[in-house]
Amino acid sequence: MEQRDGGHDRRGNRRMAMVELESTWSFERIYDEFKTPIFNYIYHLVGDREQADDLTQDTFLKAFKALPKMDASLKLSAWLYRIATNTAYDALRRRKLIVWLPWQDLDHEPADLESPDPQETIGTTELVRQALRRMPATYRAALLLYTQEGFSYAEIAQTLNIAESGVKMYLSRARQAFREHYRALEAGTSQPVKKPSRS
Amino acid sequence: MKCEWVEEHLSAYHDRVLDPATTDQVEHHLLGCGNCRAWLADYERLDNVLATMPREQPRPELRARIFASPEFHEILHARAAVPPPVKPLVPAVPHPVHRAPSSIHVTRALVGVAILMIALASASFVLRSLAAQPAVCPNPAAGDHLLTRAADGSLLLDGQRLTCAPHAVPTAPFALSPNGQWVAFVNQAGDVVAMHANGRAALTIRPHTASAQFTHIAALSWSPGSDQLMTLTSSGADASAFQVEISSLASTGSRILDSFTTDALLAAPRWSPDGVFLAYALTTANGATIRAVRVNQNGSLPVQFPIIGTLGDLAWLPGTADTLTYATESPATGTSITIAQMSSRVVVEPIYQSPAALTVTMTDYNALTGAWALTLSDGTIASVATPTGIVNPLAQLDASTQLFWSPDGTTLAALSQGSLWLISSNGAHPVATNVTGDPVWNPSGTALAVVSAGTVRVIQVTGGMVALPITVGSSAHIAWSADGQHLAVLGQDHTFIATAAGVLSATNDPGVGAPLWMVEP
Repeated sequence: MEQRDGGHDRRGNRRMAMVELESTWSFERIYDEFKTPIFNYIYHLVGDREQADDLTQDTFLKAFKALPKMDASLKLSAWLYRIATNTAYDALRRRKLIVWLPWQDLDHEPADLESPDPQETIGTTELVRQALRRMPATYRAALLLYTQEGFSYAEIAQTLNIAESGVKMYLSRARQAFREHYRALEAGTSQPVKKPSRS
Repeated sequence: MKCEWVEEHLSAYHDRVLDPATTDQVEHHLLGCGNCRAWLADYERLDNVLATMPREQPRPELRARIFASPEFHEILHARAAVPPPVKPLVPAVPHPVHRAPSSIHVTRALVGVAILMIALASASFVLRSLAAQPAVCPNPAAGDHLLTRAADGSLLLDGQRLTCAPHAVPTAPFALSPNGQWVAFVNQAGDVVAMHANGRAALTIRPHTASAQFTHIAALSWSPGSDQLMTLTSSGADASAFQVEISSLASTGSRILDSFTTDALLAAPRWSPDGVFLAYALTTANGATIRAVRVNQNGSLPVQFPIIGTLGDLAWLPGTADTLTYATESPATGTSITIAQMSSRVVVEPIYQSPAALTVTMTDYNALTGAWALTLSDGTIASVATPTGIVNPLAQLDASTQLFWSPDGTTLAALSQGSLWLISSNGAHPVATNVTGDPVWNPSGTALAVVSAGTVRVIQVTGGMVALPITVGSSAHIAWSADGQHLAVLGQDHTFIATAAGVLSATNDPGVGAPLWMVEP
């Protein structure tokens, strides 16, 4: 996990540092460097590949428009993800889906989840996507930023515009929700697995 | 402690962002709770599933759609018309800018950032992003070197990112060898890695487990000779199947020393002083049990004997090869301290019994002298010598007093309702108030560091205190170097390296988890 997609380390900092230290970065190079992680982040947030393409385009255009006005303290990586997050949230609101509650992908109702071995049918990647889709979008964003983009708690707070103490809560809730939905999908049921009774 | 409480903190524990006191509470619960261990194992597994998801590429035509769009051309026009708003924070310095003919440069903001970076670096702060410069395998000079984890989880040696070894980002737990030359941890692939102070991995072990689905490395521990590593693994659907494995720096692979199933591990394996035995405690169908196994005799059966009551702590007597001491508590008999010698048969001898109507509320054991320090429910602080059982009353504080022996066993630090006392042959003296977090002794036992009123203070046993200009909030990770010359403090915003006299350097990455001082011979 150390390197992927052209020098993006687990927490994204190496790329951020390179961008900030290097004075010859162009819009094109920023796009080339960030297009894959930003696209995947948006894709997992909205759950639709076509729409993710459109929203990735919107994100970069918004960023390019604002970038020359930003001051020297800009953390490019966190700032780009913030734009991407807001862009995706706007799109989800436009879909008239309630962002702050769990939502289902209406176009892809999990009809095939009742098969005896759902993993064989749909694969781990699809299980992850479906489990993510069933989570509240805010928690989804925090979990993606932490696990896939390698953001620190401080960077997640900056990106989602919440307090760092809130990140702890978001990630805790996110992991609980993701675990429940993923395990339910793994087990071939569409309902979250009930917690075992605990002391 | 309820599982629900632990569950609320498990995610933060997994990410190593809990304060030390809460971390201890969670770890204590995890040792005894298979459900929560399974829950934690799930978090590790699912984080890994998310982190290793294959990435899809956006459509190739997206690039053209962006850069040929009317909106992008508007941005270019607007840029040409608007004066740059960025004001460098320091006088501009000549900075070569190489422009590719076809590129549209975002120079103003980025040059400003570069200048800011240079200015901060020259102010002797090592910025986190500078630590991300292409790193090499370090060739550390002889002496102490600080190992920390950056906020991004990667390892830093003296602030330099270790990228030379193929062990990737480590996760908990960390174990430093007694000689300080090796650190063991679990990487994201679930392998146990032993890494030398030069950043190179000498050992990478994939632990044997009963189930590939749920695996949790419950403990790592180095032998007293720093040449063997114990790995305790729990696995299975309820994380109740444990295995004790031994790996040696002198050979590859590992061998299983013991396997057992238990609902609750009461004490993780501890090495005997000569490295011959490992002892641990667990519950069985017959109740609580201590189990000890010889490390270097293949096929030898573990020695096992029952204990009465609840186990408080388990340790080895100094200077002996085969004698354990442990504290237990039962409603019928109060608190007991017992020694157990394992030869051809196990000889168990109680050496201390708490006075009638009193119980022991806190203990600390000193492995060098073999002395127990106790807090009794009436606030009495006392020591109990092993193997004699001689009791020595030391002070009168309160029942919640926490105890911390100095490494040399000559001084006892006692934390009572936010006040820190030092107790020695010279009597008991209060030395600090508003103390939050545990005191941390230097290796020689001549001084300790503590967070008092939000500031790190170094207190000398012989008298005298220095308040370091380090503000850390309520808690901090503090570690002394092996020679006692340096102190690393991981606060809320920075990592500091200090001496007992003052701060030497500060890095603006507070890092995660506890810092470790490694030793290059």
